[in-house]
Amino acid sequence: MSQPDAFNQAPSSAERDPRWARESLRLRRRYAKDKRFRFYTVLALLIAFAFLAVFLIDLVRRGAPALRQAEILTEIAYTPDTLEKPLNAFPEDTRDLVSDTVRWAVRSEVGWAEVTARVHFTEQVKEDPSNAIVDMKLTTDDLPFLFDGLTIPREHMLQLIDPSELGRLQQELISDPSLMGKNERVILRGSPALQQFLTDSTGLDEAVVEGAGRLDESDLAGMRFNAEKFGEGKSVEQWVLAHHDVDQYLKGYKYMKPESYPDPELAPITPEMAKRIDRLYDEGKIRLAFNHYFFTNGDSKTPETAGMWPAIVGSVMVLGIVLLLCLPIGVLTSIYLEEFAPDNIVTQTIEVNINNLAAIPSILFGVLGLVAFVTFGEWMGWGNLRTTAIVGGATLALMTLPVIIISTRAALRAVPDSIRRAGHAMGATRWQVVVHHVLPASISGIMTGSIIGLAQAMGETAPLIIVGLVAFVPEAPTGPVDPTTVMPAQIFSWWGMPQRAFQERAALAILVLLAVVFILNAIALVIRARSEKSW
Amino acid sequence: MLIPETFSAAWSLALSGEALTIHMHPTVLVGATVLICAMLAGVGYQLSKRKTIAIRRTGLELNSTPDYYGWYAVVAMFMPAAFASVVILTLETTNVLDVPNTVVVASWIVLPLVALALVMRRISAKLNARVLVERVIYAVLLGAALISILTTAGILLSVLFESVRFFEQVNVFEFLTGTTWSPGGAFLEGAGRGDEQGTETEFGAVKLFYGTLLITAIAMLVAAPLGLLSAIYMSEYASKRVRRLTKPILEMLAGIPTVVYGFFAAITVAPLIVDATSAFGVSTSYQNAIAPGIIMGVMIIPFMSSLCDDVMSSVPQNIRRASYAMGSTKAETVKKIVLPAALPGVISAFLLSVSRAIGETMIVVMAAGYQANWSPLNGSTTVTVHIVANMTGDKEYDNLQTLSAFSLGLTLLLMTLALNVISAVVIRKFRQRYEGD
Repeated sequence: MSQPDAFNQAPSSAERDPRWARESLRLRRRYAKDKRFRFYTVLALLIAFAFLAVFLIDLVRRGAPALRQAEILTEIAYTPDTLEKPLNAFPEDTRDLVSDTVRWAVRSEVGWAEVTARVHFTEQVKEDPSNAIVDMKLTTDDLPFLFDGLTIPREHMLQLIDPSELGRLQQELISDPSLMGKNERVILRGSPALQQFLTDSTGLDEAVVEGAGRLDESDLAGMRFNAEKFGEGKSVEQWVLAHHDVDQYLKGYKYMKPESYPDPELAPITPEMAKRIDRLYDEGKIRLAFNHYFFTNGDSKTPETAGMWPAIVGSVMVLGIVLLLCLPIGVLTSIYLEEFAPDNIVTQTIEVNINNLAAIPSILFGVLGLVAFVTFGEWMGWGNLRTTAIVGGATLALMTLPVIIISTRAALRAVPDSIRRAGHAMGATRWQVVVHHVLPASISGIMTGSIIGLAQAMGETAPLIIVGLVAFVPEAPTGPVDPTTVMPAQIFSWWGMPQRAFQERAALAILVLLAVVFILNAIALVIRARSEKSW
Repeated sequence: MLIPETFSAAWSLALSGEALTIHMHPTVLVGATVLICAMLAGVGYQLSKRKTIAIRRTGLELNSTPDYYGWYAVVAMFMPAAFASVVILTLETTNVLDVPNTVVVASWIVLPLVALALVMRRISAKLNARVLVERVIYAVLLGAALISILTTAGILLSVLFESVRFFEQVNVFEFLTGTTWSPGGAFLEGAGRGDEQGTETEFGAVKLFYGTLLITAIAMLVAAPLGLLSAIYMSEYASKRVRRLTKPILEMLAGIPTVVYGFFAAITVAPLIVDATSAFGVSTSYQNAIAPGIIMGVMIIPFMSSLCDDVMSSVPQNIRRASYAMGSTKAETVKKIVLPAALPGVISAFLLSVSRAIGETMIVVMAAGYQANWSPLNGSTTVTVHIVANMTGDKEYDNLQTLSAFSLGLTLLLMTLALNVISAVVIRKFRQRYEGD
């Protein structure tokens, strides 16, 4: 064999003994397998985390643009012409760029509708002012070409008159009794529906349209310019909301660029419009401002004014109801099962039952909520409870109950028996021991469990869809029996809207929802970590 | 003389609920009543407690501590009112009598006061208040526990009742084996337009079941290996510090609402898959089964992982150590000793995850469609999608289309219950008993 020197090492064991060589190879293979296995497990975990990262980044990317909204600095000319054609209030270069909502706002700002109605002051008017309005007879004096005359029933007239006018008539009669018995034509302020009808011929029911049309023809109804405010006509310069197509173009979305259409002239933003928008942007007349509408407005048919405030309020209200229902019943049930229940068939049934409830798909709770609460409400004559917070809250409460029961039971079980026995030794009853010793000791566990249960309930959509909380809710609810929607339901309905501008709002709403859920979970974690009690 | 007239007037006034109804926003009314009752309860508690302490001062020995007498008074005050409310509720639901809400509010104020007066007289040293109060408490606890039974019964009954009405008109066999699902015709038939084109009403649910199972299979293909492997890492390899970091992140993944997953699946993942397959020349629908399947799998990973983690952590250390003592590597120990020991738990975790996937709604409603096809690359649908589709909108319970949603709900319920039961049985029967267990 060779001598050890600077270049040759001592002969290895492998060279000395062939059996050891085989063993060493096997051993190395086993070690390699071990290393690979560990690598796979780490990889699995990393894939899950990578997904979370990709997911969050994508959502932030999609939702962040919604924080800003395009606005245009434009002149609005409030003149008598604007009454008939609100579009003409805007100069030509911004007319097709402003949001539809701004046009309607201009129209209601520049003047109001007026209608002549026949008013008859009687005793009944003091009780119910709508009694003042009587049928309106149109004769050939009003409309020369009207051959047979026309009577517009008072129910139709009431639709054309602004409700505040009725109150005013009532006040007039009360303060001036000499009006009693008078029957004459009076000019009253028109209702918003009449105002809309006079502008674009929509907004009124079929039956009323004919009468309103005749009134318009005979000049007994019409728009009146708000001269007090605007004098002969005034022009103001202000920032108004841009149309959502402009907003999407400005944010650089590919689908809004004229080039992505087969015929750019038919695109929502034509090349000419695009050039104009770019020019205005460079001049500083178009800007992307903070989208405060998102946090103050309710749902809307136009993306630029859509907001999630009612959804936030609704979520808080529904969760409040869930907490109110779940916590007492859940804690009481857990106390019963842990401390008082005898080991018989009833207890076993209840326990099996709770475990099964925890695993039932959430959509079936929606079915129960629909059948039980909604039809129950109808029976009781409380009206249609379909889209209300109380039904949503009750349905979610049933769903969260098993979760809270299971976690509360774990918290109660974690309290050592020695505490209970000490209490009994001092002569306390079981209930006294529970209320004065076990419950206070397990309170942090109970809180953790309920917060996690609440966080889960906050994200539930399927049962609420069935119970009807995915409706168009433009106003925040003021009580548990008002129509409500919740954040996940709002996300769902925005995702389903045709305008793509709603997608970025849905993504932003998702970020808000995720933030709330994460904060709740974080609070629960902190509580759990803080209260690592050592017995 | 005037008494019969006033009496009949009062009685007819009472019967015509309208005249005596308080017109107040219901929340305000309920809130005010609750507040008044709380104050009454406080007053009653204090009064009887003070009286008891006074009795004790005269030297008599009490049977219970004074606060129990206080609670005795509170219970006695409100039990009659609660009983009266139950009676009123039954009267109203069976439409025997329409009770104006004045009566309800009055009963919660007047009855407690009357009861308080009567109870105060009964308070004496001999009264065993504690026993009486604790009996009531026990009844309340039992009642709370029975609410969960009520819930299950409610779900079962509501689904069963309407499903029976459905199956009166549709053959069960056809439902379970037919391959065409087009309930739309039922709506038109109900409206008397059953002769129009394309109204072949069929309720063959096989394609729906297939869709559910297909998406569930894809989901479990993602969730099972990733969930199990990450659980192995967490229980065998991870140090305490790593565990403290990774557990919250996994819980974060578990806390993400399903509507968010659905949004991501529909908006980002589905187009990705369509683009990926078109690179190979295959055309995929935007409502394919793969996108919701993958996302559902990711959603289930934390669920599967935490269940498997619990199971594997509960395998005792000594058999692991015995394996190391024989010279095994960690991988061999896990693969040949720990996993087989934990197998029943892992199988049970798997079944529970499948049950969860089957019942999932939002992800499929947003990422899958309504058409059922055999290939995962084409449009797909599930049972839950059709439950939602047929139950929203104007529900007329006589409409066969709406009833079909209930029958689908019943199928879903039975499937998930069966999986849960099997999973529990697997754990119970095959759980290995270790030394000292």
